[in-house]
Amino acid sequence: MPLFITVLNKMSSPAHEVSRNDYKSGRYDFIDFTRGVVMIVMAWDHLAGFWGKYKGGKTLIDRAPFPQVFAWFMSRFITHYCAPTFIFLAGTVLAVSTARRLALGQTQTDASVRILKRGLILVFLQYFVVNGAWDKQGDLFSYLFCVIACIGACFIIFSVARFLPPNIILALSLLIIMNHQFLKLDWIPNNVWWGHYIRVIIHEPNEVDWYPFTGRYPVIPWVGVMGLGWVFGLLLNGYDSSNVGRLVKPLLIVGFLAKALWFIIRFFNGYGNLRLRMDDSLWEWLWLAKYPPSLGFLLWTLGGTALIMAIGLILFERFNPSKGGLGFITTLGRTALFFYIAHLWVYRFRLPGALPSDIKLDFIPSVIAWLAGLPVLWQLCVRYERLKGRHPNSILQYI
Amino acid sequence: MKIREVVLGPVTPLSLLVVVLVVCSLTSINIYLNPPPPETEQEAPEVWFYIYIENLSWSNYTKYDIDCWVPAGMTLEEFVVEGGYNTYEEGALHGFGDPNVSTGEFYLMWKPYDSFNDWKSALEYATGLVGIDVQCNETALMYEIPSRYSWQDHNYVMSLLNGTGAYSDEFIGVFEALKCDKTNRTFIFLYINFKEFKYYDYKYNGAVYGATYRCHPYEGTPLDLIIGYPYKPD
Repeated sequence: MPLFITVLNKMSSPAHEVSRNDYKSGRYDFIDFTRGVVMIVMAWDHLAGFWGKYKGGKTLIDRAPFPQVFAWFMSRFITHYCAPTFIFLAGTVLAVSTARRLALGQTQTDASVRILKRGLILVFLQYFVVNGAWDKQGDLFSYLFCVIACIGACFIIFSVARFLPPNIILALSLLIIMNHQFLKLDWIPNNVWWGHYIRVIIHEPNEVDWYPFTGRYPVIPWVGVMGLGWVFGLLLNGYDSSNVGRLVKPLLIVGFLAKALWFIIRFFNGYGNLRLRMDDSLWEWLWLAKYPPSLGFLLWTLGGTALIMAIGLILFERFNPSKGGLGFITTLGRTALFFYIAHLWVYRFRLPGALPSDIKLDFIPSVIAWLAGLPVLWQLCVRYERLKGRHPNSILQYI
Repeated sequence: MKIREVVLGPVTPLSLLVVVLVVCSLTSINIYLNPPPPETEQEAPEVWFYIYIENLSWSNYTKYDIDCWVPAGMTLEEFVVEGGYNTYEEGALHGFGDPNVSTGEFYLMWKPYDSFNDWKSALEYATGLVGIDVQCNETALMYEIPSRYSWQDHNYVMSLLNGTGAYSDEFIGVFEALKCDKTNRTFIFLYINFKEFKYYDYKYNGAVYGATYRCHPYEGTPLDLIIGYPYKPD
């Protein structure tokens, strides 16, 4: 706790007071590891979405024969970690990289403009690059407001919000996450496309009404998740490779505490559950509302994020993060956004504008297809990283 | 332009405690001001049906989520819908035709989640008829529904019934949202408009119409708003 306070105070101070030593590498391997892990899991989720026979909601899962039905359910459930981790760590990395740039002499104005640019580029990528991969009707462009656009919007907000003190950002983030279920947007008209789309973007994900103005990842409450990540990033700035291992214990405590809170919320089956538990079966306990994410959903998943980060720290105390399997994972984590875009097009496995195939894979063939795609993606990420290294000042710096 | 950093004071254990207390206090107030809807309080399964038969206007539905499916073996373009639009792009809402120009009857009902064991007994109760012949079980057709129209994390089960008695030779499509967020209700939408229905051959019957209501976590009880008056059988 004292270190945490010290670091937060340090980050509340003018940037030039922050030592350059703290940011000499600008990367934390366990962050890349965590992102890499969820990227791999996410790749499974999307491969199964494109090609899986029983992927697409519990109704389809219920059609799967035993024991596949359990496998399909759990294979979807574990992927819930992806988006919260992705967005949380986006906030973390943003805080770390911004602090590093400020320490290296970048002005506050330039730092904010850079964040703003990144946000706009992400929104652009969502609409013009990512949505083409999601498309099921032959469109190359759509207005689907999904996770990349959501992160972009949050970046835009943080280009200004970052000037707030850490405790205010923490308070606002917690308030949003814990109270968004009470938010009512009835005052925004829903019978016109723009009003509906605004509601979708703010808080009411919807994939059907007013097509193509649809979306899955509303800014609220995800901006709160990014805010927590931002505060964690500020905390992280006080650590380097020599003492970052001290975070293992706090991360484990936070992770298990979040899981315990999830259990309590799920047990009482009221506040914090956008989807109520209907009975005491395992499925009902684990079936959480993701669109938008309930408090229970975020407790479970962000608790898992903390545990994965702790595992990463433990692993890197013993193993070289750049070799073997860990190197494979951290490479994907270092190029997370590129991986995200690339994996969609690789696993989609059809040309832009082409309609979906009727071919659907069973569980084992789906797993094989997923595993087969990972080395391909790893190679792409390695090459992309080299390319980015050769052109550090190009637009690639934002991706 | 130079941006000045705002610093409202140092972070201390006390300030962190204040943060937690403020957040928890505001959240508690919110919980107090927003009690769960009464539907979640699982009382005795009193059965209420909301039945609406005539002059149903689709315009009343625009604020709710309605999903649609295309019969197996058909494309959207082949899915001809009587009196209405037939493309998903124009809105799933319109995929079911306009009841104002069709000749069929529409029954719109809801019941508490666990009130009936099956649709046969539910329909018999609702219609006052006995001997309704259930041709397919609840999940018989789900496999054939293109996955592109199923949503992640939403749960629908479609049933098909073939009526007898007053409903002989007519088709009834029943769409059941088995597990609703918050409301814990089951919603049924019946469309009765087809002659010589054969449950195994959609094309023979021209089309399958139907709708289901997603229980929106924020709308709570959408059908209450739509129907407006309850009909409680004695």
